[in-house]
Amino acid sequence: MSQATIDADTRPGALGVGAEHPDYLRADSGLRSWLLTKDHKRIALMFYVGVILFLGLGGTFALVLRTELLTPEQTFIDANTYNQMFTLHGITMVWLFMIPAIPTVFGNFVLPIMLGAKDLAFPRVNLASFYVYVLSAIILLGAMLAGGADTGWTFYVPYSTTSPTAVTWMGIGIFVNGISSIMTSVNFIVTTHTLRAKGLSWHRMPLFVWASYGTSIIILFATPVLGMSLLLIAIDHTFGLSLFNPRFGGDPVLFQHLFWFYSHPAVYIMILPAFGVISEVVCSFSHNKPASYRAIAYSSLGIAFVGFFTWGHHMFVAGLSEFDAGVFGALSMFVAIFSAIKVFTWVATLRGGSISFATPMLYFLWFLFLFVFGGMTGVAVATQSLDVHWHDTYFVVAHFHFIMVGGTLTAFLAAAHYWFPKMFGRLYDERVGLLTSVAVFIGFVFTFLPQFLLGNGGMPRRYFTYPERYQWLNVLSTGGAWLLGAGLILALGNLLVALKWGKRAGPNPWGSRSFEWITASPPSKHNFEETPEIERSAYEYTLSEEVARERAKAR
Amino acid sequence: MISAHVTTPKLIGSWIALLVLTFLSFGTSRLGLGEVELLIALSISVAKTLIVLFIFMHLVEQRFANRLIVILTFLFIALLVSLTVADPLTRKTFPPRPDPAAHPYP
Repeated sequence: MSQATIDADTRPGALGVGAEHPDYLRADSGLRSWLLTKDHKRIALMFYVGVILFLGLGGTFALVLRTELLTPEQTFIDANTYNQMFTLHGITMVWLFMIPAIPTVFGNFVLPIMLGAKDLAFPRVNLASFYVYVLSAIILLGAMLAGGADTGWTFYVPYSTTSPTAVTWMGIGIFVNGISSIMTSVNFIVTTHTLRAKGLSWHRMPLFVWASYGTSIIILFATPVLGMSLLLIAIDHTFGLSLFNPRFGGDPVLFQHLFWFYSHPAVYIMILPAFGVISEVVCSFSHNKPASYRAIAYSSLGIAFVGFFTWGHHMFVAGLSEFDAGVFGALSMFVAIFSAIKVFTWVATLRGGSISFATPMLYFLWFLFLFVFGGMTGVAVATQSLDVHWHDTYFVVAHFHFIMVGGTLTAFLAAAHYWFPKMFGRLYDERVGLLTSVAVFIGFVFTFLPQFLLGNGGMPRRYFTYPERYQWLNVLSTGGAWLLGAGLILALGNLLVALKWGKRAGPNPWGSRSFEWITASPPSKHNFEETPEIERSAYEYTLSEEVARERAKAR
Repeated sequence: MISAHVTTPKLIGSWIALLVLTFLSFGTSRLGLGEVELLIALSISVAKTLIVLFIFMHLVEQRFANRLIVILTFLFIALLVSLTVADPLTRKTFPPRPDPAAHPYP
């Protein structure tokens, strides 16, 4: 089959379009064919290995932290090492795992296929972005070994300019990492604009593409500001220029403005791709079109836009003026509106659908609970009067982990299971998948729910000892962290086993109507032999008359 | 659709405009206008940036979607600067902070 016309009535052949050619994994062999590949799918897999390694490293730092907090006094590391651990945990997780995870792995892999393209617009830039990512990782790992950093991932002045640790190299590593992000985002934006297949209008695109597009815009606008801010810190740290020192006309709060102008939108850089994954999963596993396609698509852009107006809510107690605090507090509430639109639309999508409870669907449910919980506490901490009480306590730690880990990590795992057959052509063990998913959820809740109580009770973050009355909650949290770690390792093991021994998946094991499932699984080297023509939306689920009549009766 | 071409006379005209603006920037810095000086200097540099972008980088030949990116970039810089500057301008400290001009360099 060489003609790929994607419409409502035509189903692909048993093996998918292009299945008669060797798939991208077997099309070329040898290490060189991987290291110099320009195939977006192979680059995605190289990123996959990278982000999983750094999830493991960041997770290990987290387990060291949680184990230290098992007892009120020193357990097994000293205060300086503790400061290093939470800094390295933050830097590794934010820049080496969460920001690149979904866009570079799943975005790289499925976005061109969803658009009916043979590759991204700039394949060489795509490969370069991987090596720039590796370079940033080498710089950051080198800096970790050569003294680390103890400033926290936020690099607040004045401490970051005087810390004896390797702050300069950390800043440079993150700067280089930002270049990689920008390369990927430019590629996504240009590909979405220029390489859509014939007939694929904006409102027929899969929602994952909309989310990736919104994310790319944020990266493009915000990352240069972070790069500039961290270079200022690096220069100040190295040459002692006192750029933010009030004695020389500087203002330490100015650094916080510059840092959060990027780093608050960075939260949306992490969560918007997750929204995209969730939109795909909920439609595929409820075999239903989204309750409102435009509501989900436009709210992604809405979040990308209003996310830039809220950075000041991180600085309510940092000396921010009352006027600015009021403005930022009010503007922050707009994010909740767009997020709520998404949540309600996902839930409404389930209605009238034919729901199948595979592992990705279960991760969707965990996502929904954790994201709504994290989001509601976000509204609480964006309220100035409440933030004064909770600022710099474990309440804030729990809040942003609910959003960033509960949201992004569960969506990452949903994507890892959902697109596993697409990427490797095999099926993972569904029972083990469901069990590990439950372990991850329970582990997560036990880790972070007690931290809300700890924070509300007054336990500050970034302290390595604490009064005895906080111990039972800390023990629960540490136990939860170990269960979460075990769940993640088992989930990874399940997928690794399936790589070798999993059943053959066929082109479309989930019965999804999204465009990436039209090709063979795994796809051939060039995805499609001919550029397909698209004659329907990505969510056209047609029900047989009989089923439709029964559902209508049930309503 | 190409709506305008960057021709040699336009390039020379822009170059002269950049030189004039540079001298204007230098000249106003010698007038001792106080706080307004910064505003004038920034306005001149924005004008120079726009000339470089639209003429020397041929943005004037591009379609509106590409120009929009530059316009949005300026709006984002305006957003960053305005809400950041609004902070120290509206801060009230108690007791009132000492006048830095009284002891500029301790």
